Amino acid sequence: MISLLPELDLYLALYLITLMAHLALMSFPLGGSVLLCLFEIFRGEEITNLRNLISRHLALSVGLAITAGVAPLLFLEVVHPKAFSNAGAILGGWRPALLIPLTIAFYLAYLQKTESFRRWPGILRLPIRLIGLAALAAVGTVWIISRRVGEHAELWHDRYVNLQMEQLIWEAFPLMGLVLAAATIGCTIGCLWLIGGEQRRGRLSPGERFLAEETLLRLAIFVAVGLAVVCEILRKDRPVDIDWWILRSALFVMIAGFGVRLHRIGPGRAFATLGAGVALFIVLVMREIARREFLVEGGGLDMQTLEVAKTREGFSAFVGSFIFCATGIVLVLKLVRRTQSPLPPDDDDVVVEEKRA
Amino acid sequence: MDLPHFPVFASDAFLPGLLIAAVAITHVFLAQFAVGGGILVTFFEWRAEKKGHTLLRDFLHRFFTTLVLVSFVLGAVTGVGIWLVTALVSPRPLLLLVREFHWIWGAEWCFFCLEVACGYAYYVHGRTLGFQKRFWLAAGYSFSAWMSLFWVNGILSFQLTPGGWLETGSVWAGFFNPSFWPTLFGRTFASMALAAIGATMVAQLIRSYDESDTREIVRNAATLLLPLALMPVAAVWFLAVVPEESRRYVTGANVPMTMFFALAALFSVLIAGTAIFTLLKRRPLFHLPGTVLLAALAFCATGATEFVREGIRKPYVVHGVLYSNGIAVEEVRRLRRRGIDSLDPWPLRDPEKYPTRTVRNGRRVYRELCSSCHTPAKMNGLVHLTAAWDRQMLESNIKKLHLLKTFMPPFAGDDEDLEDIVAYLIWLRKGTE
Ligand code: HEC
Repeated sequence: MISLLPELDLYLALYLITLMAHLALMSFPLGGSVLLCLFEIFRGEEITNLRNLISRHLALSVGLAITAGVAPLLFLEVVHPKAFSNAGAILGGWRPALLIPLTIAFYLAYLQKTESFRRWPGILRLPIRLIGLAALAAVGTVWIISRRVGEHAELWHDRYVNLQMEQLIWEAFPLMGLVLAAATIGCTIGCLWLIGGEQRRGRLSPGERFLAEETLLRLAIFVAVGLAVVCEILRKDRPVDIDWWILRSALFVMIAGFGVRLHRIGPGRAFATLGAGVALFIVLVMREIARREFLVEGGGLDMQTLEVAKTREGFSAFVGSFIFCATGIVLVLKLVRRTQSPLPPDDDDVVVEEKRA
Repeated sequence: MDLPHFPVFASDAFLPGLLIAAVAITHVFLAQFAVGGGILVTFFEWRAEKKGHTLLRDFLHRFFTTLVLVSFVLGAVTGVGIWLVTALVSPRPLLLLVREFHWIWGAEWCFFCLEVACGYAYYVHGRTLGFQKRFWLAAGYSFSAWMSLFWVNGILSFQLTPGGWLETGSVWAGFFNPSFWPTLFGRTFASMALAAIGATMVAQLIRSYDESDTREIVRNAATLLLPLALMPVAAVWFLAVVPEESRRYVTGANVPMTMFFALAALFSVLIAGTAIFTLLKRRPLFHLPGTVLLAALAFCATGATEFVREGIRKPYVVHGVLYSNGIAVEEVRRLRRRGIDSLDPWPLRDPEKYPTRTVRNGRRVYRELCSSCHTPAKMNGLVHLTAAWDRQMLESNIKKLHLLKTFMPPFAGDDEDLEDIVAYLIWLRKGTE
């Protein structure tokens, strides 16, 4: 694994790990929004159950993903300050503008969670779900563009003068499509774990659980096989081509895990999660290697900030805070797990009912 | 110093710094509301249990939902927003702060995660848990929210008073800088006041509460306004440790700065006065519109305070080290000898707009040195500020910019750059006549 990265230092490792956490968490609301749109079109009791399950966790997952997303931004600034800030200056208002769809997506996630929204007719729910999906996808698209602009150092000056945003957007769409497909798989895995909790809390009968899982797994296998095929095709124009077999194996483990789960034999869920996690990490590492090569070729790699940063104190404060907070979070999770809570509160319990009263 | 150079984001229509100000003030307001909200919830939990107060408990959940919907969402989004906008408008200062304090920021992020975990757990399960667990969640939430403030405050106060960091380069000397404690206390008091006002507003919004219910809640919430009485101590302490010229800005030398400082003080006094009245009379002073007005005052007080904090640092972003336009103090000498070209390799965005090579270079000098505080002809527009000056005055005045107005950085270009920016200004003047 180490052979993949010529200089895997602490900062780069922290960047990759926190970015992975961010993307894994973001895959739930992003993929969930795709699934919710699909589930508005198809009918069935298991579909309704799944729809409610995803809707209920949408806002929480956006919140967690944003929280996790702060850290990779911080470490990226240390590892690739030029790529990050130059992309910002080149893109001008486009990057901060992503706050607008992000805010919209966040509030729509809260809306989709409410009991009253669940009672809206499907024909009205679908547009809201579509807008929520579009908003999140817009945020993702801006990040894809920002990254591409940042890593192509040879084009910085040209793009600063003449941005051609439209072309960049069109180029980002196919990538966003891949991200959405991958996120759908991520969301499926998240749901598999949540469904277990639903049954434990008595919100789903074993039969309902089985049907819901089956629907998800069929879909996930279909998407995952498609994604694997696309990866094979794309492989041809990758500038770096190292350890491709790890990605292949990871995808294989994931798909096999889904299949095993579908037939209720053995720990399919754990295998699928492991495979997906490894696949995501490999993709991130490969992208990082590609970025370095681009930056070196274009003369935009800046290691000086990193070298200075390494000499700065405060690491102990970070580690101390990390241990303290991680312990705290584990305790909170334990406390929550043991709680036989009813459904999470609907926000209109408090606000809307007040108005009705 | 050795900071890399980044291209400047400039707009001819508005000052990009205002973008930062807008996002930052909103974020500070919401973040402080969240910190104070945590303290209020913990306090109410304890009160409700001790006195068997079911009303307070009922109120808590409604209040917390508001907190989640407003501050979790907008607070998180504007937090990311500050990062993105600062990376755009002031990339060099941001990089300096990140390079020095990334582990501090990392620590802050850990507490931010804990805050979110405790907050969501309380929000989702608060109603079904027993007192002890609920109390611990609330306490965990408020402690971690306050710790986020603690870490970030070190970095923010560093910018005005870098303290021992200037000599030793030590991160900790920069973190526990001279204005660290007074600003930490000040922000904590302000947070509690914001939460008390927020709670009053939420209580008045709940229709099912009658007059005496609201009164009861407001009376309890007003306790959190009391620390405002200590605000003058924090303010005096703060003024005592800031650099001499910053102190002069708020004590008359700079009219807008003095005015904003006075406004922030006045609003705080008004808010504290409301608290005392509420506690003495045991009833809220205002109906809902009055409370909304009070919240608006609090927002203005936050805005004015942040404005003063940013303003009195001028011409620096990091006092004594880095100027507002991103030029490092130690770079000025070299730039005066070798010119802006030696720093900034970026082309002009629209070169065809400028007629001659001189004007084009003048535009680049303006972009690099002036555009963070001046537009050509709109906000704080150079054309209007220099309308009465002839070529000679332009040259001699711009050459000693930092003496002309103490909140401007020195002109950091060579003789040719000076000539070129004068040519650019004269060309601009012709275009706007
Ligand atoms: C740190 C922010 C900042 C920077 C950078 C800056 N200025 Fe200023 N400048 C100001 C402020 C604030 C004023 C006061 C405006 C007023 O009085 O309305 C001012 C005033 C001026 C005036 C009017 C002075 C007077 O006596 O009336 C001129 C001329 C001027 N600036 C030119 C420049 C030029 C040229 C540059 C770039 C080389 C520059 N400034 C860079 C903040 C700045």
